[in-house]
Amino acid sequence: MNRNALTLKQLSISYGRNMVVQGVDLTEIQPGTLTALIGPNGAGKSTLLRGIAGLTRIRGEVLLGDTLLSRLGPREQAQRMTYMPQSLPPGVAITVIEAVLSAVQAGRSGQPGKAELDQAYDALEHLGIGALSSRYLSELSGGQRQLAALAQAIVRKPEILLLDEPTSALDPHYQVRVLGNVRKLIQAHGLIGMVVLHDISLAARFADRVTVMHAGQIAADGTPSAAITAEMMARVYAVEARVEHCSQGQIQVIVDRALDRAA
Amino acid sequence: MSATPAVDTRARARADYASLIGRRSRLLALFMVLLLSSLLVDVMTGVSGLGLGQLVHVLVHPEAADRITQVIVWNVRLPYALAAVLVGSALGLAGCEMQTVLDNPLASPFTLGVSSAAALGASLVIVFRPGQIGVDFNALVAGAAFLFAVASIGLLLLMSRLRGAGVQSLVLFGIALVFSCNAGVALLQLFATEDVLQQLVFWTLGSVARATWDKIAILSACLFLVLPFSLRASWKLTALRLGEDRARSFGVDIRRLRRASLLRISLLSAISVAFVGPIGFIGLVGPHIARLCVGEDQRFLLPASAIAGALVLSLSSIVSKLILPGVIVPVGIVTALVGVPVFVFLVFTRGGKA
Ligand SMILES: Nc1ncnc2c1ncn2[C@@H]1O[C@H](COP(=O)(O)OP(=O)(O)OP(=O)(O)O)[C@@H](O)[C@H]1O
Ligand SMILES: [Mg+2]
Repeated sequence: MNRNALTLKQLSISYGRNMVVQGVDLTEIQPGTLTALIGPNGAGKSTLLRGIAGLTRIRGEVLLGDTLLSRLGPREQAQRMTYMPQSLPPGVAITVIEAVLSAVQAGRSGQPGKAELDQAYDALEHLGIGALSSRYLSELSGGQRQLAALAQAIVRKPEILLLDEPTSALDPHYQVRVLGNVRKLIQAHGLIGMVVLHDISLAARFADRVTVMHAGQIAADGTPSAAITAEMMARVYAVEARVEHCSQGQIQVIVDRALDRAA
Repeated sequence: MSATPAVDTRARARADYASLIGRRSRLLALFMVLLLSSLLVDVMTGVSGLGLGQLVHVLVHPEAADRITQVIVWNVRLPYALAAVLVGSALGLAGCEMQTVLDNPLASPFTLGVSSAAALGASLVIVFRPGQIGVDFNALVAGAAFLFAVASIGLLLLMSRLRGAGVQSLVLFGIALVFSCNAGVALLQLFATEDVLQQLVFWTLGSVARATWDKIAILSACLFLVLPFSLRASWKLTALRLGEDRARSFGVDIRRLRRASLLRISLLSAISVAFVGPIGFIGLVGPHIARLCVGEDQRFLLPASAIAGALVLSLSSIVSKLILPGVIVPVGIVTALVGVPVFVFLVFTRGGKA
């Protein structure tokens, strides 16, 4: 089991001249915890996750304990981290089980045996979509495809799980179920989980830590109740919002109106 | 929730998977049977008809047959028919890999300039006839075609190494290559004498009638060399089909995969086009037919594309002998005539996968 924390030091990522992640420092992202990455469209959340996963060129350091992850080869990086992109392409004529098998098999040689097949079924059942295993991806709904993609990510049993908007297409049942399961998985295996979410109430409910990105920088970081405030909502999202604690202690964000964006 | 339903689901899922694999394997076997039948019919078809019994006899006891039948079967029918099968599978396989690594359903050796580059190379030799350098003229034409075809993929590879050149720009580059090479060939045609012009035009109509046993040996060696490597990359190619970031995150070295794949494609398509000339449509339609039948799990799609390409070219070869009595129409003309109806039939009747 992994006992090392993840640390980002002065992480910067540019597209050409345009620096979209600007010297991000995040310390002590602990194993067994789920960190929600929130922020407006174009803030740099997807780019940051891709940078951590080694899928794009970065400046700065990504450290797991004392290991400099950003120096490892692509193969080792892939073994330790899995990044799940925002969407699985529609219209690919393979079945769900084959898609999950490809996640296990793509990085190695040979053909999947019984053990690999079982791993794949475990991942599907864990997410409650065992019954979809022999359906074609091209014939799934958007949310079902998202669940299949999530199964691809968890079947790899990485130390660091980076999920980009895994619940954007899911109904309330699966939103809660998926995030609950991901959280359990992370706690049980001591994984480091970072999840991009747009639903702030969901982030507050399932995450141990909430990191807010705004224009390539960290705008707030801490426990849900410390990071999610009316002041932050106004500053980062340009909305007038109330942050309420409901009777069961959960944080609910109620957005009243959009403010004019400050210049 | 009790444990029983989960076990039941799992057992059902296992059975479904096994039957899916079985169904696809049977489809592959059916494709093979169709291909072998087509090959037989191809050998039997021609100006002088040949019964099945007669054919088997000539094949099993060549020395017992009369001289003319021997020559017809062993020097003409069999090499042409085998060439159709081999070139068809090479182009089908190359097209399939190309569509995946360039992420474009319209990619094929023909549409991305490999055939056009080969035609340009061949035309240069035909027009300028480099004098006595001790090499057979036909070998020289084939050699030039091969070199130009390899060079065209080399250019594609170079482009893919440029930072910022996405897959889409590779496809556009390939299309630009088609037009420039075609312009070059047209320019050469403009200055060619009538005699040379006829040779030029004839070369650019691909024909299996250029096959010899040497070429067949080289083609099959190349195919059997490349196919295992393609199959070994099948899971990586399946993952790539689901997106580049995802595949990389699964540990696939995309650059290396793409480079190795383009190398295989260049070998297969350059040898094919050098030996029999440009044959369009097979590299495009073979993989699409295969996809409609077995889906996109590359373990099955790659071999199915090869067999489907071979089948369409073999059928085309049969048709090419039937169109005009006594004349073998260059098969390159026929491929579209045969391929289009097969393709349309499949699209409208199945549209699904096994
Ligand atoms: N491939 C690219 N080339 C150039 N610029 C890019 C590229 N991808 C993203 N960007 C830019 O980088 C910035 C950050 O994008 P990113 O995708 O990381 O945002 P995000 O926070 O994930 O947004 P969203 O919530 O909409 O997914 C945006 O301004 C975007 O325009
Ligand atoms: Mg994003």
